[in-house]
Formats: sequence, structure tokens, C-alpha cells
Amino acid sequence: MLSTDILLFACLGYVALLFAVAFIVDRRTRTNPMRWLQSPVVYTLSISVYCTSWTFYGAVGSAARNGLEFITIYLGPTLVFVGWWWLLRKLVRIGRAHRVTSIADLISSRYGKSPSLAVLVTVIAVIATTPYIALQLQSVTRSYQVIAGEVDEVTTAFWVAAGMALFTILFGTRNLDANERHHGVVSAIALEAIVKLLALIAVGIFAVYGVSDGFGDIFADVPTEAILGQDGVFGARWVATTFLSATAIICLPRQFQVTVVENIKESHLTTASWMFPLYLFGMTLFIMPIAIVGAKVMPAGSNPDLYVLTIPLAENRHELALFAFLGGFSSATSMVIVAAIAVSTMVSNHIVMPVALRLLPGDHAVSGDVRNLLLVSRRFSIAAILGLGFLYFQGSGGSDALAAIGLIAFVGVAQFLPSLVGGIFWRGATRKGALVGLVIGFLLWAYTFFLPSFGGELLLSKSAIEFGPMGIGLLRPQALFGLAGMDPLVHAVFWSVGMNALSFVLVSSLTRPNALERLQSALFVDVYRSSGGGPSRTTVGTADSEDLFVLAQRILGTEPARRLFDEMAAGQGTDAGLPHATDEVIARLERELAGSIGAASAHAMVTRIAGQESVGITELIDIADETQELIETSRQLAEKSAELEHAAQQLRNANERLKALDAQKDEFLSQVSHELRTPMTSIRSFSDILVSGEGVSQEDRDRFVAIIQNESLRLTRLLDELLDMSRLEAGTVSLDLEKIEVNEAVGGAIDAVSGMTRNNGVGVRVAPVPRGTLIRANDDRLRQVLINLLSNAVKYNSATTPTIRIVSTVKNDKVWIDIIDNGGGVTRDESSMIFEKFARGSRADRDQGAGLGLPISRAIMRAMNGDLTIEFARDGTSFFRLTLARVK
Amino acid sequence: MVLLVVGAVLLMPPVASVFILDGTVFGIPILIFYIFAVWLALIIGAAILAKPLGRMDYRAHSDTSSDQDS
Repeated sequence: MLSTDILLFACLGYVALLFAVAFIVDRRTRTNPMRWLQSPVVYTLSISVYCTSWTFYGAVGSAARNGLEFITIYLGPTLVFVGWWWLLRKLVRIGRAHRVTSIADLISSRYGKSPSLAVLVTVIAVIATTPYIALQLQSVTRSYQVIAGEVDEVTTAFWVAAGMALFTILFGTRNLDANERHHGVVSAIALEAIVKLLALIAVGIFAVYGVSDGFGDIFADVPTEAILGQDGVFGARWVATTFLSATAIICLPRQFQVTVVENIKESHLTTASWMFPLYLFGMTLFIMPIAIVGAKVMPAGSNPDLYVLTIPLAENRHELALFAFLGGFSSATSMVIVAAIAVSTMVSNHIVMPVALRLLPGDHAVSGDVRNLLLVSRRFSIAAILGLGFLYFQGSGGSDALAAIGLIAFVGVAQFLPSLVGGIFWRGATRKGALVGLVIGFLLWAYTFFLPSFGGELLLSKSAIEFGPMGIGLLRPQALFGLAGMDPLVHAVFWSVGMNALSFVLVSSLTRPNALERLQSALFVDVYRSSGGGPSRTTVGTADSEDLFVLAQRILGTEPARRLFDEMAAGQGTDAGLPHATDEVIARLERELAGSIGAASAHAMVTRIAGQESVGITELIDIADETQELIETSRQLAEKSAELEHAAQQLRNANERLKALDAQKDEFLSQVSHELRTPMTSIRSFSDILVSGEGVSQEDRDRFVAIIQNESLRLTRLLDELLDMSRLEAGTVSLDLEKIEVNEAVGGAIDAVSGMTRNNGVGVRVAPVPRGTLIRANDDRLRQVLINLLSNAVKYNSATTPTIRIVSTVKNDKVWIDIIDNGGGVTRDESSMIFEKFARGSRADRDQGAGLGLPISRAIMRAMNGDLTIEFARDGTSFFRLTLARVK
Repeated sequence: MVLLVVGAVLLMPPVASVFILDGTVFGIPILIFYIFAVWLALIIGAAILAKPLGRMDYRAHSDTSSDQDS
């Protein structure tokens, strides 16, 4: 038998070693970080805090009682790490981006920084962790008893708890790190991971090759039942425990602490994805052989939970027994330390802080007072949690099967799963859904599994467990609503996790998230999309930089707060003084504070200074549901297509105009060819007659030649007019303008048509302007226009005594020359088309001109900055009016 | 994700129940040997998959942006 002195000495020496490692690492990381400490191997080893004394001692006991079933506890985590590690990666990414301090912080932060959710998760975590810690105390105490002989169980457990509390307080609450990382503790945990693995393997090898003769010898005469367990191995329980262990590796507060919070580098997860399963593989490899050897070697009735110790002792290998004891000790201490840190962080951040926020005086704040309060509350929380564990151990008197207690904790923390996984993958998950799911799951867990585990000593009496409260059979805790004949574990998992998930989904679907929840859900679900921690997209009320600085000092301490504010000021380009309290600064501050006191408390403190946070409309549109994004996209598409529609319309209009012009051109061409064809036809027919020659008298011949000449002249005139017209319209001719006396110009024109007027018996009367009235015009062209108009007036006048009056008027800087005849004029309808090419008035005969005279006249007048219009007198008769610029 | 499905199918009933057989491999009962063999295969599979993913991760870090969650 090992002496108590040696055992105590070994224990204390081992603890001293842990202290030394934690202390050195803590100090070194501050000055110059050691690279190997930041390696993925240390990270992986720290995750192995999953293997507690439940593994070290309990797995062998479980294997001895239920055969292969123990292995599911390690298959679940293996499946998660091997196949679903990107879930962990997403958690790690979110944890880093939002400075998450615990699983309670993550869940509350996701659902709109809800304080009530944080409290609820914390309470569940404390209740689920307490039996687990009691389990560790129990196993250390029992193992100590086995080696040291009969000692007082309670006293030993008390000192073990006290020692662990001291260690945890010393290294877990040395500082409030901005990221809540504990490098010293993590290194110590990694060391413990190595010790427990080596110890278990050493005992395993001893059992296989020292006590027996290899694997073949061990398994030679083992009945199949010993491997399969009493109920057969692959039942509902197998599936349920695998599911539970897979859940636990994500949801256990201590696993969340080492995997997410203490993660230094995201890429470490890729290594852990295979190295951690390998570690579990090594831990379980010898469990079954040890259990079988123990059953063979040890006397009947000895506790299989302690085979790992008792086999070496029975074989008188004391040094191996001591090593095994240290292995068990290290697995227990590592779990207790990490769990205490994780849970105390939750308790102080989510329960103590909100209370303190109300009680603390806000006016005479001292720098670092909140920080000190936090440290103190964290220390007390650690002591309290270990105290609770001790009380549970003392109260329950120690359950015989370690595995049962562990499973209670597993089912308890499995309640986090729906809110956690739903929260990071489903935008629609709401705070109310998470609250309802957690409460229902928690109550069902307590009712169907946790309370019955006390065997009638807590709240539920023995008869209530067996026959239901007040004898109501339907409410029997282990056969709820008549669901009898199930294993209690499977039954509890089915009801608690099932109803939790169901109500979470149902309530989430029925409720609507508020603005902050919506924002947080987008940031969490799309954490890969936002860069670098997600810039805050919220706007807050106005805040005073001074107040913010005081707040930061209270929580972070003077020096870190100063550094943070200097950095932010530099970011704004301010050299000295405090940064302006912009939205970015406030958001950054809140995030930094969240790293110390959790999102909900940080939010509460900052909004107390800065006023209620509000989420802007445009920001909401940015981050709102994918449907919103789709709406935005389709809106842009609609805009684009409207633009296209507009352009197409313009093109269509242009096309219409082109078509109309094309039609005009076609019409013009056909008119021109028609006009040309008439004289050409007569020229050709008469020349044909002349060429054939016979039977044509000289007289006819002369007449024909005269006609041909006439028609040729007409053709030439037509072509001249066309040419003139097109040149005038194209604006290629520029007319030389000179000063002209109005009366002279009119007189000249009248002289030119005097022969014509006399022959037709037309009287011409002139109403002149005062002598010396000058206009700016081209003499020849003006005469051309006048002659054209006068000859028209003569030609189309069918009155019995035709007269033409030419009335000149001076009107400001214009001169009007009106040509008025008594021939009837045109109607108002005709007046609109009289200036069209080839148009003729109703009184014109086909032979009298090509209909180009008026268009040409108007083009000429316009080229001389004047105009030619048709006016109507009061009695309805029409006349032509020439408008010309007057020269003063 | 593939490994998760494959592992779950191989290690859960009914597939795993097939291996409840009498007999041993290297002195180890077939069922135990089967489960540990699948386990080891999963670890090796994960290690092989982790290599390219790890490299991708480092690249992503240097870009400060990454979006591959499968």
C-alpha cells in the first residue's frame, strides 16, 4: 500500500508543476509569445478536456456493466469533428467577430443581446454543471481512498474542491482579458491531457501484456453478452448517447470555452478535426481490455469504476498505480478548472453584472471599479460553483455509477442545441422562440431526468416517480403521457430535446424579430459575408466622449482604456484628445466591452450613456432577409428594363420620323417624275411623228417643232426650279443682301408683269410707303418672288374686272408688302398646304406650272430673313403677305 | 459533411448490427475490430481532407475574406 505521504507529495508536486507551467506561460505570453504554445497541437490537447474522470474511471466501469456502449460517448464528438467541423468553424468565426465570452453570451447576443436569455442559459449551465463537478470530486476522493486506505470522504472532497477553486481563481481570473483567453490555463490543460492519455495507455498496456497475454488471451473466453451488454448493443440507447455526446462537444460550457473562446487561430480547427478524434481513439483503445481483465482478476463485488487503479494495485505495481492516480487526478482537475472558468464567466457577466449595474452608483464612478467588481464576482462565482458541486456530492452521497451523472449533464446542455444551431443557420429564429424552447426543454429535462436521479430526495417523491404526481399515471416522469417501455435516457432525450426543438421552431415561425434581433441574425448567419467582425450598422443617440471614456475606464481599467481611445482617435485623424463619439466609435467600444462583460451587459451599459440604439431603415434593408435582397435586385432590374423601354421608345420614334421622311421622299420623287413625264411624253410622241416623216405637212411639222421646243423649255424651267429649290432648302446658297427702296422694288416688279396685266385687262393699284423706306433684301430674288406672286394673281383671277392691290406697310422694324387680288383667294383649309411642293390651288389647271413657285418663293423669303405667309382679311378673303426686315 | 453521413451510417444500426458476429480478427472480436477500424478510417479521411482545407484557410486569412462553409 502506498503511504499517504507519498500520495500527497505526488499530488502537491503535480499541482506545483501545473502552477509553474501556467505561471510561466502567462508571463511569457505577455512579453514574447512562444510560438509552439500557439500551435494547433496545444489547441487540440486543450479540447480533450472533454475526457474527464468520467472517461478515465467511468468508461471502464461502463464497459464492464454495459459492454461496448461506452464508446458512443466518443463516437459522437468524432463524427462532429470529422464531418461537421465547419459548424465549429462558424462558431469560432462568430465568437471572434463578436467577442463572445461564453455560450450564454453567444445565444443572448444572437437573439438581440437579450439579458433574459443570457440568464436562462446561465442557470441551465450551472444546474447541469454542478453534478458534473460533483462527479469529479467523487472520483478524486474515491481514487484517493483506494490508494490511501479509509479516509474521511467528505473532508477529502472538501480539500480537493478548495484546492481546485484556488488554482482556478489564481489563473482563471488573473486578468479580464479583452478576448477572455487564458493562455496559462490552456497550457496547463494541455499538459494534463498528455498525462491522462499516457496514464490510461500505460495501464492498458500493463493489463493487456502484463496481466494477460495479449489481446487474443483477453478476448478468448469472453461471452458475447459482455461485449454487447445486457440489452443488446445497437438499440435506441446507442443512437441517443451518440447524439448526446455529439451535442455535448458543441454545447458543454467548458467545450465552448476551449473550442471557441480560447481559439487563437481559426486554422487550428482543421488540425483538430482529425487530431482530436485520434486522441479519443487513443483514450478508448484499452478501455474494453481493462474492463475485461478487471472482471477476471478482481474479486467479485469490487467497483468496476476503479479498475484502472485497482488492477495495478492488485498486481503490486505501486508506481503504475500512482501514475494512474495522477492521470485520474489530472482529468478531474482539468475539467473542473475549465468548467469553473466558463460558468463563472457566465454567472458574473449575466447575473452579477446586471444586478450591479442597477445598484452601482453611476455618478461618482471610479476608474476600474466595474472591472474590480467583475474580478471579485468571478472569484466568488468559482468558489460558489465548486461549493455547489461539493454540496451535491455530499447530498447525493455519491452515485455508484459515474456514467449516469455525466449523462444527466449531457441531456441538460443538449437543450442549448436548437437555439444555438438554429441561431447560426436560420435567420427566422427569434428570441421568443429560443426562450420558449429553452424553458420547455429545461423543465422537461428536470422533470423526466434530473429530479428522478435523486431517487425521491429532491422535490419529487419516490412514489411520484413511480406512479406519477398525485397518482396521475399520465404524468409519470419516466413514462410521460403514457410513453412507457423506453429507456429513461432515451425517454428524456425524446421529450426534452424534441419538444424544445419543436417549440423553438413553432414559436420562431409565429413571432417576428425586432430590429436588433434582425440585425444580429444577419450578422451571425452571414458571418462569412461581413468582413472583419462586422462593422456596426446601427446608429445610437448622442453620447459624450468623456462619458464613454469613463465607462471604458471603469470596465477595462485606466491603461487599456487609454490605449483603446488613443487608437480610435488616431483612426479619426485626431492627434490628441478623445475621439468624436461617432456611431463607429460607440459600436467599437461596445464590442470591446463585450469581450469583458458579455454582449448583453455591454449593450446595456453603452445604451445607458448613448441612449437607445436604433437600426436605420437603409441598414435594415441592407441586412434584411434574402427576399429583401431579391426585391432590391428585381427593383434594379425593373429600373434597367424601364431605361431600356425608354431607349426603345426613342428608337421607335426616330424610326417613325425616318419612315415619314422616307415616305415624303418617295412621294416627292414620284411627283417629280410625274411632272417630268408629261412634257417628256409629248416631246417623244411629236418627235416620233417627225422621225417617221411621211404624211406630215410642213405646217404640222412646224407646229410640232414649236411644241417640242415649248415642252423642252418647260422641262428646263422645271429642272431649274427643282435645283433652286433643293439648294435653297439645303441652305447652300447664301444671298447677297443689300439696302433696297421698297417702292422701287415693287415698281420694278409691276413693270416686269405689265405686259401680262395689260393683256388680261388686270388693273394694278399701289399703296406705297413713305419714300425712302429701306429694306434689306436681294434685289433679283425679291423681284422673282414679287413677279411670281403677281403672275399667279393674274393667272388665277377669274373675276370680271380683275384688280390687284399692292399695299406696303411699315410695322416697327418690319415692312409688309401685301398682294391682294379679287380673284377669290384660297380657303383656310387650302392655306395649310399651299406651300407644299407640287401643290396647286383648286383654281389652277394642270398645265399651269409645276406647283413649285410658292415653295420656292417662301424659301427665298426665309433665306432673306423674311417670310411669305397667307393672311386672311376681315371679310374672309385671303392675300399673300411678304415680311421683310426694315433698315432704319 | 460526407464523412459525417458515412460515419453515422456505418456506426449506427442497422449497418453496424450486421457485424455482431462470433469470431475474432487478430484475437479481437469482429464487432470491436470493425468499430475501431471505421473510426480510424474516419480519422484518416479527415486528415486527408484537412490538408487542402487548411491551405485554403491560410489563403483566406491573407485575403481577410473567405466564404466557403462546406
